[in-house]
Amino acid sequence: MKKNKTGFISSIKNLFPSKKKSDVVVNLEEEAIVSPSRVIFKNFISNKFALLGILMLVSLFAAVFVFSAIIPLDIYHTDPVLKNISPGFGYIGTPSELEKNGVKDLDVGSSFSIGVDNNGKVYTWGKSSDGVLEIPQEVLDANIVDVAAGDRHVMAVDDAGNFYAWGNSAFDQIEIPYQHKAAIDSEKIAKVDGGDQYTAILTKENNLYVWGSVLSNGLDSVSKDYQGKIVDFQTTSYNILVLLEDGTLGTTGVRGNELSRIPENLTDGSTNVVQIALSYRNGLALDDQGNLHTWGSTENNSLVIPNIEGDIKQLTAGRNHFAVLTEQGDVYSWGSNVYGESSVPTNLGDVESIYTNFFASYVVGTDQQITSWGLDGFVFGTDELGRNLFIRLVHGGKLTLIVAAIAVLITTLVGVSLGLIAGFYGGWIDNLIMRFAEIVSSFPFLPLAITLSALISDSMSQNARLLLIMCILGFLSFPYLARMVRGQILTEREKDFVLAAKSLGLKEKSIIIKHIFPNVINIIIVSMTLQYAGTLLTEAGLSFLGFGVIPPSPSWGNMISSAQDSEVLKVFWWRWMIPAACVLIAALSINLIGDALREAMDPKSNEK
Amino acid sequence: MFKYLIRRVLSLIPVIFIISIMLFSMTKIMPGDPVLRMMPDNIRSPEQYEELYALNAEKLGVNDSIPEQYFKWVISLSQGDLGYSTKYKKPVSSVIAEPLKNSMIVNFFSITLSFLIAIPVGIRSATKRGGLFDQFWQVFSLVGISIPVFFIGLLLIFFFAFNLKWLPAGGMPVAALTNSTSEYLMAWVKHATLPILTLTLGSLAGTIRYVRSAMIEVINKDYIRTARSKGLSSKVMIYTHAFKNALIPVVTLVAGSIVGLFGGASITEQIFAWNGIGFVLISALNARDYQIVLAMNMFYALIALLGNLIMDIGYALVDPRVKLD
Repeated sequence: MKKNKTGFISSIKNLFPSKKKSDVVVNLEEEAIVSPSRVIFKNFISNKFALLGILMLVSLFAAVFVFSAIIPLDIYHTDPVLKNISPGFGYIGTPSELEKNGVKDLDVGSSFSIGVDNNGKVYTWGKSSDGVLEIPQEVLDANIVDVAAGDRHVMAVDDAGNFYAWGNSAFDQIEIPYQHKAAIDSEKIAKVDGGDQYTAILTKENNLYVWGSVLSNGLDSVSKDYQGKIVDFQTTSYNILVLLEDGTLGTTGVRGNELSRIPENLTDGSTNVVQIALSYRNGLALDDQGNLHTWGSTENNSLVIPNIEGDIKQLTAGRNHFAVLTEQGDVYSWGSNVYGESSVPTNLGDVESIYTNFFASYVVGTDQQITSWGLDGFVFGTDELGRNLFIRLVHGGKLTLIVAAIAVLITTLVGVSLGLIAGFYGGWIDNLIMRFAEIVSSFPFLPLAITLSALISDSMSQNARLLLIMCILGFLSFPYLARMVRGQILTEREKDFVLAAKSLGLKEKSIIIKHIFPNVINIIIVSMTLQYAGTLLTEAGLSFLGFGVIPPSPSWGNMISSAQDSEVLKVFWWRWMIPAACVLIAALSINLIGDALREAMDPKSNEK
Repeated sequence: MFKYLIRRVLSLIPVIFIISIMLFSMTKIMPGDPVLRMMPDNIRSPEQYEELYALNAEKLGVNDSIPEQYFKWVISLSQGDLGYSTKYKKPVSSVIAEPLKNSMIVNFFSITLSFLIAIPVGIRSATKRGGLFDQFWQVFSLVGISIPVFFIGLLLIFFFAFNLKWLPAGGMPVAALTNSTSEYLMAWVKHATLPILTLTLGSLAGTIRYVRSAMIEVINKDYIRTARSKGLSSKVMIYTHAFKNALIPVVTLVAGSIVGLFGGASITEQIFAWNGIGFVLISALNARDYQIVLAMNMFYALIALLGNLIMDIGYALVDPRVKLD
């Protein structure tokens, strides 16, 4: 035993100095009788693999349960523009050179930003899989005066009125199409902006040209009533909001959604609108009296305008929120706050200008200092619906760990009680139970588990489904434990102490529970531990095949099932490697503990 | 021996009977109407629908009472008729024949491979306990029993198919698309390599642990100490005295693997789109094709019972102390 003592344990012991004992006393203590449970405990903690396993398991459990308690999961929340982003941070970390030279213009994309300094130099930062961060040489050479960002591409205009765009080009949104080329060249660019894979240019002659991904939303056909009168526009997925010369509003794109239903007083000329902002599903307009008007979806509380003190200077909108800047230099923000995009820092000084889009805001103070807030990144990236994988991972982990735990409890309950009964009573009861165990165990485990899970109707609620899955998993693995307990009881009941108990006239029930059961409890604990690891893997396998936890509820298994798509497997490695690694770590730490427990409980283990 | 065999086989009959009732009632409570699966798409009138529905219901025999259906099923099963697949619209036996062959070949190679590796490794680990070799395989097998099999498969695809581009990521070769038999065979081997590797790695860890602990158990026995004290060389001692005795628990494992030979490795086959029996089971379940599910589970159960029987006989063959009576 002595050689097993690790330096780690003794160093901990040294931390708590006790009275000096002579060597003789120490030796005497080692000779003293200690209870079996203390021996087991001592053996267990002297095993460094056991400690490693416990450390891993405890940190995994702590992470999963603490984070899932802190961060709520909305299983229906999706953000398609944030899909398949690899793990990492730094979306809103402004380059210091840009701050030093002063910001001329800045715009925010889904997971990146673009800015231009007063010297006309362009900077991009954040994360992009579409090449937004690789600024073309011709752009670096030019004197850029205006920049804008779409969801996956960016645009810039130089002092000579040349248009540049780079990034995602799936819909040719980075190239001015030939049919607009001549018009845009002669009319000169007044404003550029990008939406969800499309680009819009407003010319100095107040015409709007849109191209890119416009097949489903019809954004490219701007009404003749608007052309020539447009002074400003704002973009979002399915609509473009235009501000006309006479102070009225209009929309292009998809008809009939909540965005296109602009309040009548903003379109009939009774109100003179001077500024507009547009989020994904809400519009915001400022009239010449200084009043704000809002319309659209009631989601995200975007319609609830906070009490704004002072005169409004600038309106901006992100994907699901609004931010406004007052003449006094204060910023007010409301709407969705999933990524902290509407939590304005309290220590902002006097703000000169604000740039908001998608999920982040940048403000430039009167001292030229840039402050940013909002989405800075995802620890574990996002999936195909733009869902935060970290949140799904902790909630999925909670589900996986709980399902496996309850399944093991069921196994133990059924297995131990049937094993005890069979072992002690013997005869036809034993025969019946063991036959039954043979039948259940004669099936290959996974096919039967899959078949049984498929029996559960899809219409069942998620919780009822989970409960049934736990029962199936628990029930199917009882024969192993029942057989082991029975075998142990058969040997124990022949021992002298049982005979002694019987001759003392003790009841059979109390002999089983008080005298025999404690002798088999070690085996039960070890088997429970190892079974837990096994059930964890089975649950993950079932969910992987689509027969366990069903999306949108997350579980580690069903998060990995996306890897059956070869693109996910090849490119979006974080979507399957991270949850799979979680399953591996959980099972590994439990197996480490189980192995150590078995070694600690088996007195012969030191010889092995 | 012969007497024992007869008795064992006879005692299997009630077990098979109960299993068949359990499985049959299981497929009966499966959600979904199997008759709807048989209906063609181009139905023009409600009358034609009714007519076809009645015809198909008759064909599937779902109009009879449940006990009646059960007995009809048992009778046709005993005649070798496994039922009619509503998904593939042909007899179940012809649906599962090819996948069964595919699964058996892959399983045979992976089981053989894993035993060929695990037995020597297990013996060497047990005899040289605590050494570097043992420590390596201990860690390997601990990780091996903790890693989900789909993770192994996905990692293999990720590295060997996508990054190194050595082997195909999945699927099966089509004979008609290859020029010659040898080319077809070559493609077949290439497609089968990763599934075999996945299954081997998946079962290797458990097998090594099993062989190792069986061997350690034997090495600690008194008769090994006696053999050692008599001055036998350690080679003779291990391979003639120890291994033969350690073989007994290993036989259990081999018998279990025989069941696994036929059983589909559902997850692995799903990952590699390998047209095996597990793949068919999953697609049948997704299509609610309960005749295939029923036939396959029944088949699994029979194989498993047979495996248990073979295991008991195997015990008697390797261990003369075991008496069959």
